[in-house]
Amino acid sequence: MATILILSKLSKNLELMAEFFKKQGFDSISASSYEDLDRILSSLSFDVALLDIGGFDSKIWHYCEKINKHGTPFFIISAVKNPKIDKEGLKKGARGVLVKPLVMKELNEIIKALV
Amino acid sequence: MPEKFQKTKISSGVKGLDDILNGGYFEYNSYLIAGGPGSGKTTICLHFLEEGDKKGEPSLFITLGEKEEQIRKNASLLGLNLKNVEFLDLSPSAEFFTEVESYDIFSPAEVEREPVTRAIKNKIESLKPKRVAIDSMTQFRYLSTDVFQFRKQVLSFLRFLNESGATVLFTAEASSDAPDDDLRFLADGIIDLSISEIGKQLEIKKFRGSDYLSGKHYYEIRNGYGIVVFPRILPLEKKVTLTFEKLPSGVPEIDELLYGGIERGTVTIISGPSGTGKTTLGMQFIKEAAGRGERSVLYTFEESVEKIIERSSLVNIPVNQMIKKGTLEIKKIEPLIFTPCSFASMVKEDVEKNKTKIVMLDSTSGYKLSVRGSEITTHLHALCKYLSNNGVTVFLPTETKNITGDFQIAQEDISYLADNVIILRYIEVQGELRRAIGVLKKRLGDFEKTLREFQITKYGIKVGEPLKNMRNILSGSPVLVKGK
Repeated sequence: MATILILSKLSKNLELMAEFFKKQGFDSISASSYEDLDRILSSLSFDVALLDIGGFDSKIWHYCEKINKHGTPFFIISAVKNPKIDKEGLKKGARGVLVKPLVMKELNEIIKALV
Repeated sequence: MPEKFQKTKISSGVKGLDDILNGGYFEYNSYLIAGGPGSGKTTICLHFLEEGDKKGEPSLFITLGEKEEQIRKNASLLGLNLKNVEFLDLSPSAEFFTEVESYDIFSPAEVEREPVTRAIKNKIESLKPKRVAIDSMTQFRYLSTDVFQFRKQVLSFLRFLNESGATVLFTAEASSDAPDDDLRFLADGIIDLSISEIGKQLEIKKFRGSDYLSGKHYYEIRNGYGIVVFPRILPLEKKVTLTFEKLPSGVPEIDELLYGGIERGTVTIISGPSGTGKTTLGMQFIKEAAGRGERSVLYTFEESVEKIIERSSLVNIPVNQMIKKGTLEIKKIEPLIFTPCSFASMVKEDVEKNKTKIVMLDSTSGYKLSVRGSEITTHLHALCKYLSNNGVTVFLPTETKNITGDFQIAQEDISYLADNVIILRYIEVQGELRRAIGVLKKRLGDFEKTLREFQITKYGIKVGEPLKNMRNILSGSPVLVKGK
């Protein structure tokens, strides 16, 4: 069963995504801080990462590079369509930048295409 | 709609509203209650459910905004009993704030629609309510991905409820961001509530399958009563056969002027400057009616009840006795308490309940100043016509500004209201101020064309012989005719 790393500052976002992925037959690991990411990146493995960057500072790009070095596909999730975020995200190796709110059906198709 | 459901009308539970709706709401239909904050949308829904509960019908309130506890508390303050009314409380809890349960990863339509739909479906299937209120349907807009989906969802939701055997009222909170035009098209009927500086008004904007009383109707929200609606009076609503028999005044000379008296069921303006005896003349007719055992009501806008009683007793009109016998009631109308519709409702209720035969509104200027609202004259006209069509004789003492001189029937343009016009005027004779009485108009018969002297004495009204020895009487300064 594939495992998805989900990152978000909002706990309810994490809860909803975990619930959604469980229904789709996926496991998930939740993170809401850099400390969580450090812990997860050092000890756990995952197949895809979804990074909701809302509320995080520019340090998040460093973590994007780390995930990219692992060879794990990841997506940036942003609250708004922003060319700067698009550019930076793709530069750091993101497969794409998704804008909130996500459509469940589309998210499911994206994840299934990657795992 | 299954054929077994016959469409009959059910009561709204709101006093006065069933009259406007010609019996109430149609069963298994859905009605939109629209209006701004504080207009009474929720209260109308609560009346509806309370009425169902009284009849033993399972009733359900679905709330998406206010908490059940708050609604029950407010209902109780208004005097509504919701003891057996079931609630489905889908409003956000305090934990949503304290536990930071806000989210933005998915739309509310995707996250919450399914649980909300499931909760409603389960409740409907277990309770099988006959009456459902939803407050407010606007919240469902945020559970839809677009306008088309919202419309489809509301339509199917209402159909689900109607086909489950429920009559539905739902509220809408229209705003510039979320206008409720689509809900108006979906509803079988629309009740619009509005608040202005004049008061609260209700209007039926749509009602499929039945006629209704159109136009704006005033309503009030009263503690202990909830909403009370005052349907605008229908002038042509007639419940009696009119006879137009002549009603004498009890003063022979006045009856001579009127060729027998005032016809029953007519409207009479008694016109004159202040102090000429307009009220006293009206009271004279009322005294005579009391002698016949008929009930009259005087609505006084200016004088207190005590003053009228005192004044009348000084001119041999035994008001106290008439009040004790039930042949007279005097109601003091305080300024700006009533709207035209609430006043008319009160008069109508008294006439129908107590079989009142004479109504005097003292005075027309007092009515216009005391009753708050717009188009006052139109409302007065409707009330007079209603009373007249129902065999009630109406007296309208009407003050004119000029003591003498330029002749006018009334300060306001109301002479068209009257079937009869009796004028009282001051005249100056040899340095003394006296009064004269005459008849200007009598729609249903002839009358004496002369003016006579009119006196108010401790024995009552005294009217003299026709003033044929004078001319220019109406100018206030009559001239003796030579040789007479």
